[in-house]
Amino acid sequence: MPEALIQALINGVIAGTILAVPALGFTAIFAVLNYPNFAIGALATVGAYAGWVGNTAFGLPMAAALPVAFVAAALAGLAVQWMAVKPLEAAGALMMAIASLAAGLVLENMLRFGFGNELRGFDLPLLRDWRFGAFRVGPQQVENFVLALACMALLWAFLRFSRTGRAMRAVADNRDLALLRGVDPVRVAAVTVAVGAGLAGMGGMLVGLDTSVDPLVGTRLVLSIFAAAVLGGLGSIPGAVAGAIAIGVAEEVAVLAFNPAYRLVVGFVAILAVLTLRPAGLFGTRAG
Amino acid sequence: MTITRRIVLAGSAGALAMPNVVRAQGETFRVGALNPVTGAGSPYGSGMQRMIGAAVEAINAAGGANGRRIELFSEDSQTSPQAAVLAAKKLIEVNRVRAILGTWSSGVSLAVMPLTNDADILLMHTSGAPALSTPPVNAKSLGFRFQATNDRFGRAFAEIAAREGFRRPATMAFNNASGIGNTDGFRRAWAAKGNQNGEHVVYEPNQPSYRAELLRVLNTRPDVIVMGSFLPDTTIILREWFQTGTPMKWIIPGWAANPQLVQALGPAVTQGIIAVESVSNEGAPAFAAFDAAHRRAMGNQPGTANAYAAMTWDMANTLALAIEQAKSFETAAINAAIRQVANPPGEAVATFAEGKAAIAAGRKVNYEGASSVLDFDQFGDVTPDFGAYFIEQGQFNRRYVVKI
Repeated sequence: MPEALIQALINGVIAGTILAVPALGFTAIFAVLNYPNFAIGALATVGAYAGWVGNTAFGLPMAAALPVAFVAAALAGLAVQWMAVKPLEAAGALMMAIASLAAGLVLENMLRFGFGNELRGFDLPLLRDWRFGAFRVGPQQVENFVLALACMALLWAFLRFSRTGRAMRAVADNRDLALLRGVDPVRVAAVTVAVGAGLAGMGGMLVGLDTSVDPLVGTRLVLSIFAAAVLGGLGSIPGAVAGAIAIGVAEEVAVLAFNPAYRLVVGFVAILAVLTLRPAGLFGTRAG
Repeated sequence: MTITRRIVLAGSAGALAMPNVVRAQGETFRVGALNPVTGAGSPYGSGMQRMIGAAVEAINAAGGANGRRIELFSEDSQTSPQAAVLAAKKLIEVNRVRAILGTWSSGVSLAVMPLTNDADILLMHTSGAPALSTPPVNAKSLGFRFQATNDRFGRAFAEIAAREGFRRPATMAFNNASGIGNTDGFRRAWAAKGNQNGEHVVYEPNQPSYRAELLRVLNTRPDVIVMGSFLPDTTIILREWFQTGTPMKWIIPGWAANPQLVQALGPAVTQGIIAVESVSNEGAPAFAAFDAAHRRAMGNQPGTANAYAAMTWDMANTLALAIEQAKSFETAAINAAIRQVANPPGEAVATFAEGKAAIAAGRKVNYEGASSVLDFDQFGDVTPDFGAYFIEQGQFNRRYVVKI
C-alpha cells in the first residue's frame, strides 16, 4: 500500500527530526567527554517538566517555553556531571556511563516525587490534522518539526561561529592539540554538558508536546537516541541527525511490514548492524 | 547537639531493649501489602494500600485473628514485575510475611506468584490474566483473584458492543497478559455471537507515539476500537486518534479510561468513550463500612472512586476471617477456610467483627464483600458484574450493568 508507506515516511521524518535534538546532545557529550551519558533520558524528562511548568503555570508559548526546558535540563546536566560522573573520571568511560545511568534514575525519581506519576498535558488546544488528499499531518507535528529545525540551526551556528563552539569542536577533533593551543578543558567540558543536556531537555519537551509529560517521557527515548547516535557515528554531529531520521523512518515503516510488537527491535537491530558492519557508524571517523 | 558518651550509651541501651519491647506485644501474623503506588496503577495503589491498613486496624481493634494481631508490611510494586519481585522477596525473606495482598496488573501477579508458591504462602490479587487461575502458575491453588478475569472483561466488552449495535470492531492490545487477555476474550465472544472480527494490533508499551499502530487500525475503517490497555498508552493513542478526526467509538477497560484520562485529554476528546469496570457490591453493608473507611483515609473521596481499594479491603477481611475459622496460622488450613467463610451457605456477615462473633457462636459465615459477593470458584476466582460507563462532558455516567 504506497499511500500507507508515504504516510509512514512523513511521520518518520518528523519523529526523526525531533529525535535528532536529544541525539545531538548525546553525541556532543560523547565527542568532547568521551563517554555515553545515559542520563540523557532523565534530562529530557527534566526539560519536558520545565517546559510544562513554564507553559501551564506561567502561560509561556511554546517557543518561549523551549529555552526554559533548555536551561533547566542544562543545570540538571551539570549537576549530574559534577556530582556523579566527574568523581569517577579516573575509572574510565564505562564507570562514567554507569554513573550517568544511576544519576538518571535518581533524577527520574526526584521528578516522580515532585510531580507525581500523573500524565500532564501542555495547555494547548488539540488540533485536527491537516489533510492533503490521502495524507495527513498534525499542526502540532509541524510546529514541533519547525522548532526542532530551529534548535538544530542554533546549535550549528553556535558550533560554527562562536569562540566556545569552535573550542568544543577543537577538543572533539584532537584533544591534546586543542589543549596545547590554550583551550580551557574544564570550561569546554562544562559548556558541552550544558548544551548537550539542554538539547536533550528541548527534545524531551518536544516529545511531551506531541504526547504527554510523565516521569518516563525521556526514558522511553533512550534506546532510540542511542541507536541514532551509534548509527550516525558516535560523536558525529551530522551523523546524529542522519541517524535519528533513519531510526525515525525505520520505526514507522517497520510497523507496516511487521507485527507492531516488534517495533522496539528496530533500535537494537540498527545498533547490532552498525557494530557488526561498520563500527564507526555512517559518518564517524573512529570506532567509538 | 554534641554527641556525648552518655547519649551513645543511652541510645545503644535503647536499641538493645527494642526487641524485648516488640516481643512483649506478643506474636503477630505478618501480612505484606504489595500495591501499585507508582507506575500505571498509581491512581489506585495508595487507596489500595491504605484500605488494607484500615481493614487491619479494624481487625486488630476487634481483638485480632485467632488471638493474634495482624502486622502489616507495605511495599510499592511500581506496577513493574521486576520491582514487584524484589519487593516480594523482601516481604517474604526479610519480613517473613504469611500472605501477600493486593498485587495489581497481571504482569506483576504472574511474576510474584511463583515466589509466594515457593514460600507456601497466599497471594490475593486484583489481576485479570486467565493464566493466574490454573497450573502451572496457580499450581498450589494459593492464589485468589478478587477481580474479574480479562476473559470475562472481554466477554463484557462483546456484550456491550452488541448492545450498542457496533458492526466492525477492531482491537488494540498492550503487549502483556492483561491487554491480550482482554482483546482475546472479546474476539472469542464476538465470534461466538456469529460476528466477524476486524483488525487486531498488539503494540509494544512505552513508546513516545503510537501513530503507526493506530493508522494501521484506522485504515480498516472500524466503527469501534476495543482496547486492552493502560492509562499512559491510552492517553497517547486517544490524543493521536482525535487529531486524525476519524469518527468512531471506543470501548476501554476502566483502569485506563478513568478520571485521570479525562483530566489529561479534556472532555472533547473523551466524549462518548465507553469505559467498562467491575462494579463494587454497592448496596451491601460491607460496602458501607468500606465507604466510610475510604472517606476517612482518602480525604472524603467516596468508595466508588476506587473499585480496587474495595477488593483489598475484602482481602484483609477474608484472610482474617479464614484464620479465625481455621483456628490455625498454617497456610493449608487458612487456604481451606477461605471458601468456608466467603461462600454460601451461611450467615451473611459484612465485617470481621461480625464474622468473628458468629464463628465464636459456632455458626457458619458467608462474608459478602464490599467489592463483590465474593464467592470463589474452584480456581479461586470471583465473578463481579460490570458497569458500562459512558463519558459525557467529562463525567462518567453508568448507563447499565452487564452480568456475565
